[in-house]
Amino acid sequence: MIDFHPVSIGDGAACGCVRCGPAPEAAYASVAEVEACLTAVRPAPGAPSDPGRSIAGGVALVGPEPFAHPELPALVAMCRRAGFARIALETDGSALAAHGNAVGVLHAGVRHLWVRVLGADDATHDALGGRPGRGAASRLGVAAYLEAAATTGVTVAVTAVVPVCEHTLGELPAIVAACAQRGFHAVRLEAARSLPSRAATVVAAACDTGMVNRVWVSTDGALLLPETHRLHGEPDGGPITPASGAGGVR
Amino acid sequence: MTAPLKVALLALNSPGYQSLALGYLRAYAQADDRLKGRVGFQTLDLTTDDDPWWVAYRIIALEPDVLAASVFCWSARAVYDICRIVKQALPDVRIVLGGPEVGPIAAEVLRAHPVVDAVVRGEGEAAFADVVDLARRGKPFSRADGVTARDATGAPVAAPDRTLIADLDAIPSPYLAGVLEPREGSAYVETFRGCPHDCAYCFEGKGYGRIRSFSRERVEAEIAFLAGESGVRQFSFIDSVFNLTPDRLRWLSDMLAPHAARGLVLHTVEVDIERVDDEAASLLRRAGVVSVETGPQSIGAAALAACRRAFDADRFAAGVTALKRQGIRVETDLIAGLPGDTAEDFLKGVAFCLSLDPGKIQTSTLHVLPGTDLYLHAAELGLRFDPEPPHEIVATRDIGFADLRRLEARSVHIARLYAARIEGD
Repeated sequence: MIDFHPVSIGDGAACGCVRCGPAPEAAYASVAEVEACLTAVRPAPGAPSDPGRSIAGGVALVGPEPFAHPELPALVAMCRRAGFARIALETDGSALAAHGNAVGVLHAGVRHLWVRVLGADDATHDALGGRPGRGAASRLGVAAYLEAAATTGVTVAVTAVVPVCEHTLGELPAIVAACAQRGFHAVRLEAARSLPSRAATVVAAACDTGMVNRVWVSTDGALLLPETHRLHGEPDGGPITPASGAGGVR
Repeated sequence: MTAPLKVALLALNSPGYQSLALGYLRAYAQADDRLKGRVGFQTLDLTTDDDPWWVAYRIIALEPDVLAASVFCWSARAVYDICRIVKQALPDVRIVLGGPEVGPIAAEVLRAHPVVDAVVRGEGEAAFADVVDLARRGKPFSRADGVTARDATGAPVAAPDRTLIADLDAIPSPYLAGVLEPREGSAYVETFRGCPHDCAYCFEGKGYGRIRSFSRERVEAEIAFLAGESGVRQFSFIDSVFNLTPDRLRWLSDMLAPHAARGLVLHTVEVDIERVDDEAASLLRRAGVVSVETGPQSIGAAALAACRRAFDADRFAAGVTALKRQGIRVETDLIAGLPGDTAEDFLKGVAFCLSLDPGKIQTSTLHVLPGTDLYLHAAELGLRFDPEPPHEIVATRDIGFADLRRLEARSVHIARLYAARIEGD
């Protein structure tokens, strides 16, 4: 319902399951390249609203880990200048706790975080992500961002993005419960691979785990859900899979 | 000389709010010649966050002869707990309840809560003064019109309905009477009672028949006092519709404009948004209005019909646009679980509100309130709800229990996605 225009800041992904395949090498786009993509999706000034349809106005910087981009502040400032009121970062969250990054991005205007989560605990996250120490760092980073938002009275939306593959599938309910405990506002389950038919049952259980822990769980269209859980299968404007078409140099 | 009757007035408000009702009850009773010098009042204007045992402790310390509580759906459970505790500690205290949660189901309340002695039905000021006078004279409460009390066996007995107060100016301003103090620079203003609408889910105006207004002189005097020597910087108008008529809106705007020019603001006044054009929006801005609250509650044809609500998408959108042009934030409200609405209808309503970029989206699930048409006709409408307050909807004919809970969670999520934005750019 709330459109986020995905703008890729380079090749690669913030965090993915290395057992499904090696992590791609990150290659970052230049500011000029990102700006060209941003120009294509920026909201038209005074564009008339279209009752009954979704609103424009969000942009998401997606692709490789944004905190490793040498010009991240410039990219965020550019999004702001382009007129976007909702700016999202797709990240593994591990850099948020360091160097005042959580406060920094909040002040810069980032109100949405899409944090990729691979496991219910640090060890599992590290093992599947192939990057030791990232699980704990991500947990601390999200906490720092939420604390900064609470301190300044700013409303933010922090969504866990969980790639669903045969390695994360069995743990999905536990991941959702862990995300709720860490303060995530929502969880997005994204199909990373084709899955066995039993996946629908587990995905439904993950949705139910979200309900009892007061965190909304949504799924992308590629994940099968029982009819009873159809409300979890519709987009609300959270994270968008790369397949849905990010502009940029992906 | 007989010792004055001691009356404790209790309200449990949502945090951050005060009870204007207690102010009215006390101001009216204190002005009653029968009670002057014969009754002492204590007001306990507390919140739902306060622990019932702590509230009971405070009441018991006052040793009241009468405990009178204003009861809403959100405070009822705690009030019942408190009454039970207080009655154990003070067996002779007489407990009187009033308010929209109990008035429409007075007899049921008395049957379910043996510690309660009487329930005031409907508008409370005059009936409450009579009850206090009867308590002072040791007479049964059932002698007061508009009150349901107990007979000698303890069974509920209802006195005739009470005629409404024709001249609202007979009710003293609680602020001018000195029984209610503005809190944190904020005060309440009521300029009329009743509602021009007749929405099936709402209790507002039920039993009032027609709109009754305070005189303009009375409202102006109250506002001048509050904005002047009381230093109030923010008013909460509790009128059901701020833009009731063009003439009235212009009067309010003219009266409030000088105060607004000095920085006084009005937050979340309720408006009929489909009657807001550029001129009305300008008058609202001039009055100091910075945000308004409005429907549509639903955009589904079946629910609108079942709830007797009108909705015109184009007029609604035009109203939002006119207000936004004046820099006024619009809070659009939607209710999940109205009869006739499907889950898809509700989500279309959310999408409609989002498409207008109003400023705030507020969603809630239906509470089937006593005294409303939905409460009276719940079975035939297929509404299943918790009979205990706050009477939240459990399932409807079109939306099951689980999907209602999903809609709650999902709409909270969407509202957060919408609210998480850079402000002021």
